[in-house]
Amino acid sequence: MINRLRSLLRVIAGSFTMQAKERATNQFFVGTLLVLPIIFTLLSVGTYLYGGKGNFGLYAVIGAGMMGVWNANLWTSGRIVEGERRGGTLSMLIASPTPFPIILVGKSLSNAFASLISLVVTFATGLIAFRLELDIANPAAFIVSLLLTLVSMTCFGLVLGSTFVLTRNAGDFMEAANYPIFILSGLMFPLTILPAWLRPLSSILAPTWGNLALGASAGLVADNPWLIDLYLIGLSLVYLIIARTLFKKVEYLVRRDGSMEVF
Amino acid sequence: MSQWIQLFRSGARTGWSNIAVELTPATVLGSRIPRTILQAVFFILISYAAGGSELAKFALIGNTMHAAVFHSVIEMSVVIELEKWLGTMPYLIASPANWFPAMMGRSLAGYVEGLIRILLVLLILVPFFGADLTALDLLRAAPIFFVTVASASALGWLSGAMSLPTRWGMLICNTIGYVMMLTGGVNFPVTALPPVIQWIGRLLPMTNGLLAIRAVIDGASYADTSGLIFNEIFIGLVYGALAWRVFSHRLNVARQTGNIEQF
Repeated sequence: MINRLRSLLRVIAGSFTMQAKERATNQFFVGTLLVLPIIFTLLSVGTYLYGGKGNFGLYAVIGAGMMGVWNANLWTSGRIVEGERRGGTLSMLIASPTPFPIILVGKSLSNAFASLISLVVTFATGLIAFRLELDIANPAAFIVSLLLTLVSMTCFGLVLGSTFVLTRNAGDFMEAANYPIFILSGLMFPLTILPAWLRPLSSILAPTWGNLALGASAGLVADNPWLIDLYLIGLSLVYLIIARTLFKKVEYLVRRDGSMEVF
Repeated sequence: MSQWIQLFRSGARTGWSNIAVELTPATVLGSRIPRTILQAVFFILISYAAGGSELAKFALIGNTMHAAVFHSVIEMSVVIELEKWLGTMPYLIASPANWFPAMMGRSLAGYVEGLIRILLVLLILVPFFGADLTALDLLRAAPIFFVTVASASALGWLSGAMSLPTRWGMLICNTIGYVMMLTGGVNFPVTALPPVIQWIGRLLPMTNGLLAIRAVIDGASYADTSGLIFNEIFIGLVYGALAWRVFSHRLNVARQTGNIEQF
């Protein structure tokens, strides 16, 4: 049992490092971690300032950071699968005795931690460009919420990543999947402006709760961040169960049909 | 002249073929249309949260234009990039045929798709948001939409030509697209920006065209907005001429040094 756990951790560590090396030369990550967070912060905070709602500044900064984190995660799930497919290594990874989701966990976690850069970038942009007061009411809760959000988003990314194995057009679908998540999660505006019938969809998304937890920790939302953190943990577990089931199903399908190279 | 027309037509056929490969029902319905619409929805909702329905209407017009412009900048850049990715650039250089009409033809499909995006956003989002915009006003502004997308296309060519010897073409043209969103008065008026940014915005395509479109929609005549339209056309021609010079230079350098395959 311990040996099995150790070998799994070794695979996760290996894929974590491998992904970090790949990321260093990947223009998409430069874009999602450095360029887009700056632009989204300028756009959103600029819009709120123009609309006379400067008090939404910190909310928009956190939201822009979360978008960067989510972008890195979603791109992660899709691009990893697509990258392996293009490199001709996806079939080998699927065929290897190490479960493919374990490799994906290592790679996704690597990108999730790197995506913290985008949060730093958005805070720096808010501070430098708009001289916003970025006071966090409860720093300890903020850090814990941030880490739990990262884990939860990674798990959600795994759910999507499992389906990306089935298609060559993962890149296209990733682009399309970004904005519904941004909208439903209320990353840049209060969820109350969305129709009530969309709320159940918002409540099953990790970014919604991550954003809420960070907002509550920062003192922007009157809520208990620790309770939201508990919800994030539960949500992560549900995502993991769904991702595991989906991966098994997808893996079975591609092995049965031998269609890995023809999708 | 007839040779130019022939080259243009064959370029247009190739451009259409490139796009047609990607236009499966799944990618159109699952990716292209949702991406275009939802990106606009996202920014309109931010504007709504910031400044109510008036700012939302402002953002609706801005994002309609930007949806097409963003696509055009990327597609035109890709027209040049694609030759490099597919390994056909050496043939283009070696061929005695003039590349200009061929590239113009290649760009046609992207330009038309940009215009279709405008139509899509307007058809879906004007009734969805209940915006106070009449079909007649929008039709009056249609020629300026055409001019503005063409002008932005020239910037896309320039971006493609400049990034030709690098591997960062997609990141560069994406960044340009988002910077235009920031400086072009898409979500809030250009006048709300710092003077230096306003100045940069005025030198980029779309800013003047968008101002003219807003004015015409609000009832101004073409004579009233002729200055803005002239500026838009002039800026487009300048970027087009620059793109021509830079691309010619790149091809000449590639011929002289024989390093075209190293791009």
